[in-house]
Amino acid sequence: MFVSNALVGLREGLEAALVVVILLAFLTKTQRTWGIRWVWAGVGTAVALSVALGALLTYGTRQLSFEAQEVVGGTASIVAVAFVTVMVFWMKSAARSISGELKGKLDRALDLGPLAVALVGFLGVGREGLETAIFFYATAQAAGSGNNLPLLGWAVGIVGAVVLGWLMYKGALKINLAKFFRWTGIALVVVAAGILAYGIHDLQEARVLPGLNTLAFDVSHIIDPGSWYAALLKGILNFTPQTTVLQAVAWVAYVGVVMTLFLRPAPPTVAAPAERPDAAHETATA
Amino acid sequence: MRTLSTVLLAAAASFALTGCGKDEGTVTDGAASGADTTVTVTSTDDACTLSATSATPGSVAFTVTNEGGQVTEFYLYRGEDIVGEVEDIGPGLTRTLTVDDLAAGTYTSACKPGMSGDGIRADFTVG
Repeated sequence: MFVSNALVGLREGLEAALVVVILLAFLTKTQRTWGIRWVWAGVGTAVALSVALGALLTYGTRQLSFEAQEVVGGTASIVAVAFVTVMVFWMKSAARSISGELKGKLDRALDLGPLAVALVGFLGVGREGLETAIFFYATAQAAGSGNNLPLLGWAVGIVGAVVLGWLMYKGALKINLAKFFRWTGIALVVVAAGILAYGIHDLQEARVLPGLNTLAFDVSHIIDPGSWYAALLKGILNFTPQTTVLQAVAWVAYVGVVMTLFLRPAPPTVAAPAERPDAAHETATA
Repeated sequence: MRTLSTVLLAAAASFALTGCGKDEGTVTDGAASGADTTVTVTSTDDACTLSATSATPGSVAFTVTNEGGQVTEFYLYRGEDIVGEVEDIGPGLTRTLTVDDLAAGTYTSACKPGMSGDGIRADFTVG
């Protein structure tokens, strides 16, 4: 009773944390510390909104239809993928500008402002937040009827996800700068492809997209969906033992296109224009 | 800061608007208030017991309690289509699937302890 609920908390916590962890590591590593509070602003808004909406749906008279819940989760995931994709190329351009800086040039052609950074934090957490909040209230209700184990399990799972996220953050900071962009970029592409597949599955369940029962593969007899490793695979890569053809095609296409573009060697750097004022200040006062 | 809050507010509003739907298949937790019929479902690791296998057309609330050791899910199918589902029912938890405006016909209920396979299925008749 404790372990199973802990694994649900761990899985959902990781699903929410990964994009945020990579974004924070990137901002810290490239001394874009202005962005960190914006990430937390987005994360905080997503958490507050999820907790409030979850309470409304649990204790109020307003109810969220099954299809609406899947459409919200699915759409938010796909929008998150769009922003994360921009982030991938932001990393690529940052890598170029770092090597450019070494040669005395500054290239800030592609730089995200505070708003975009906050939105990535918001969507990264928000797409999973409502589901997690509703689960939390279910464990709270069990605790209200005298069974504390599900709530304790869930809390331990969430704390576990936060600790794992923190370790990943610390680990990423230790990577040397030259390899940092390459590895975090590759990780981000794989994570984003998983989020895309997740969003598609939600939309298939809501019958917005067809093919829910057309499976590409089913390895649920090998990978037990209730196991700890399945929780990690789903939490980190969004891997589901039962994957539909549409999910598989979208995953392969996304990785194929975005990974190729990301790893393609950059064309020779054009001489950058004279140094501009910090883009952060520009956008913040806009 | 002002632009940010505007956008986040807009995002919040759109979440709320999409959320408060009127259509069928509602996932709620806790007390199933207002449904025409309430069906109590007990899911264990090898059984799926419904307090009733039929209902009159209208809204039906399935209150699913997981008395097994694995995480379970509850589905209501019509043919291959999912009419409603509630996932991640951890051991010891009770979660409710409310389906509004359930039309007459034959449906299939299913508990999926362990979250895999076809689940423990049974006919559910509305009429």
